[in-house]
Amino acid sequence: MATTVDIERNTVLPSAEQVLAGQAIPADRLSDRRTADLAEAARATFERLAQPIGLLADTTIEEFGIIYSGDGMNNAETVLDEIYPISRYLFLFAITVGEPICKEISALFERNDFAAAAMLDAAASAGAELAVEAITRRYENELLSDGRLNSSQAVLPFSPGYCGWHISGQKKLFGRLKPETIGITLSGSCLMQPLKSVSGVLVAAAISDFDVDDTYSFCAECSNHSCQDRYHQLKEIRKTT
Amino acid sequence: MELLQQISDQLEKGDTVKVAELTSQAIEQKLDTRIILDNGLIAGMAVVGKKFKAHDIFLPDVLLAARAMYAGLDLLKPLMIEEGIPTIGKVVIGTVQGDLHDIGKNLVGIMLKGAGFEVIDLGNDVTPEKFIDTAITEQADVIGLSALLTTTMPTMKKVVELAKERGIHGKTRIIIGGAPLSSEYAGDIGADAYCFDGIKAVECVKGFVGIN
Repeated sequence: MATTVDIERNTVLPSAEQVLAGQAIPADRLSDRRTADLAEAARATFERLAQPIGLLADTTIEEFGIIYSGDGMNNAETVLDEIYPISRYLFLFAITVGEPICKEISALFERNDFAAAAMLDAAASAGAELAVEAITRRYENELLSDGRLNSSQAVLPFSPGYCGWHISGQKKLFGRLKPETIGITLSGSCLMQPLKSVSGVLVAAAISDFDVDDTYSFCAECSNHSCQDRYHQLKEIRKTT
Repeated sequence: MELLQQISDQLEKGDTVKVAELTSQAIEQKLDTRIILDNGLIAGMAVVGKKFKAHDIFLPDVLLAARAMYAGLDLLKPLMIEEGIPTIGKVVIGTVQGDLHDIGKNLVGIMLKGAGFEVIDLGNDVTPEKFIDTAITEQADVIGLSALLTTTMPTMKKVVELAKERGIHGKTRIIIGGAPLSSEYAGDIGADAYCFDGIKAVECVKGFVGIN
């Protein structure tokens, strides 16, 4: 049974620094008035048009194994292969920041307002990532508060198309979760629409289980190795709470 | 010539209004259309491209300059048509079938236009047939293929294969771009180049049409 999750707009409003980061612009560039104005305008448009919403459904290790196998195109060895069989809980998820923002990005390009379009595109991408973070932390807190997780355990999201989970895995994930109910559809090439949408699985497991090497075959093609940051952030958060 | 330098300078600053005003002045002064284009607008975008490559400026600065360039170009276009001034080359671009991501493709198109190329943007979800038919009809120098999804990458190979079947492979060059791609992949499928970004695309396309 899937549950619709309302996500407050202000929780997914990216900072100006996050908007710039999406365009490989250093944060100190905000000292440039024109860049700062463009970033603020993008944030204001995001705040006006974003319609963040999520969908969540619990699943079992067995069921997820079938979903994860997808069309059999995953890498031979993956992070999820190691983690999901020993996880405590698994939740399938999908989020979107909605269609109006995507339409506005296109409209800005049509009007030759390229800089504003690129800035809003970056804001929408950052907002979608923040929406994933919001539902991840929300359910982690819920699991922690009712005692299903302890302080040495945490929740992290994983998505098809990343870390060896082939993007064709979207098909079985959609078949089970039915994100169409919140307005997200999947094309034949496994592309989600609205474009600023994210789907995947939330994995609740021991924090130490998320300590993975970034030496898998697919890691060579990864530009950010955020798996390492995610693990270290989890450790830091728990140290301070 | 000072006027052309002013056009170039204001374009670098991304001042759309001033670039339009100065371009109008240049037209009123009966300066040669090709000279206004090359020594004013394209010269300004070339400086912007170099600064971007050197990380002295960033994407918004490039895009504001491009908008200013378009304002000037809009004024010159009727004259270019009237005088039969050819562009330096013609490029057909699009995001391949099954893929709707178009921001990367849009940015490449903007940079190519800024460099003086005629760009025919087919949009997204473009079939191999549409790419090749358009390239043949328009006698394009280059086809630019964009994809963000690994699932749509094989469509690029289909475009290359169709180009071979239709006898334009090697004459019309094919460049590819997008996050999951690489030079190796371009080589594997028989494309002529992989372009990491718009600046690289401009360099590649200039090379293919014999401009340094």
